[in-house]
Amino acid sequence: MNTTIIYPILKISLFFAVFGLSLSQTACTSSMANDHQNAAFLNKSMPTFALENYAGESINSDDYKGKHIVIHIATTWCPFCNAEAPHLEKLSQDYKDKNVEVLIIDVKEDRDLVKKLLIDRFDLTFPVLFDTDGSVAASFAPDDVLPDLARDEVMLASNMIIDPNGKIVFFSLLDTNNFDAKLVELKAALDERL
Amino acid sequence: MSVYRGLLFSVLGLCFCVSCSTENDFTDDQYVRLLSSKIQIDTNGQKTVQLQFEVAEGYHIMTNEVSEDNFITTKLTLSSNEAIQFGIPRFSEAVVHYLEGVEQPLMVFEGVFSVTLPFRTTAAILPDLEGELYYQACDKGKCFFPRELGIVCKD
Repeated sequence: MNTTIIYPILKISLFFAVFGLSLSQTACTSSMANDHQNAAFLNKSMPTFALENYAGESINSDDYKGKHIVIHIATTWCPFCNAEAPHLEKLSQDYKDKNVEVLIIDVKEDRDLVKKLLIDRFDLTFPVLFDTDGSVAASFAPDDVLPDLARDEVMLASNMIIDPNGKIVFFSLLDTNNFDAKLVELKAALDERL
Repeated sequence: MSVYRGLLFSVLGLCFCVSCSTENDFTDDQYVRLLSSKIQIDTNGQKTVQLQFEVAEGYHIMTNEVSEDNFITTKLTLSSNEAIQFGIPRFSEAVVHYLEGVEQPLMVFEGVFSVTLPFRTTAAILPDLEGELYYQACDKGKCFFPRELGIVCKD
């Protein structure tokens, strides 16, 4: 074959090889960054809290020592939270004999509104706690995740698993790329630990 | 707007652009920006302001008519006063958005959408238009507190 044809083909091939390599390196860097974030946040102790439920009873995080806790941070207007609610109730029922407790922490909303649009609407039998100023939700937010947002906002629609030692062992904000209404990844993470 | 232009509008159906303060990049805590705005006057003298918005890539916002009453609707409000009175806004078509694992689709705005508001004014010079777009945004994995995008348009 004529060298005048071969050289341009070789140059083009070389360009695409280098370009493809740089793209794959970018993807790897991004993935490593996420892994780093996960490693930095997971296995940290859960922030302690004391919040009231609808009945006005104070629920303390220490009450759950020795149990796995699934915590969902919610608002009534959040479509993701609404979609998850029935699946959280089912999870609560399916895992209640496996030393697993489910909690929703509602952020900055009126109690009666939450009772009507969340607790009654989805027949929730597990505690829904009222974080009236968002400070408890904010206390869970990793400093370096979405730093431009208010800390309580970062946590909206997040799911976490806390192990019996009070360590955060699953955090959907970091571990999932897409919304997981049926809690497939959370249940898989839970099953691994039971 | 000059008196001459006002006279022209009364004869011909015309449109012209007004500049609005939010026609720029997305600001720090906003997921929507105003892309363009124009005043349109048809041959019957019906006056409308048309605002075109853009939702940041990767995000969507609830529509003006939501499927469940607990969702937060998008609302455009421009302030009426003695010089100008606005009618009911008409929003462009929404986009169907499916959440994984959820049967009921969500109707949302994503990308570019527009809102048209009829208005009446007796003023020869169009007064400044002031108002806000109220919306609640989500991305593919999480939702954000509702926000207000302030709008000020000058002729």
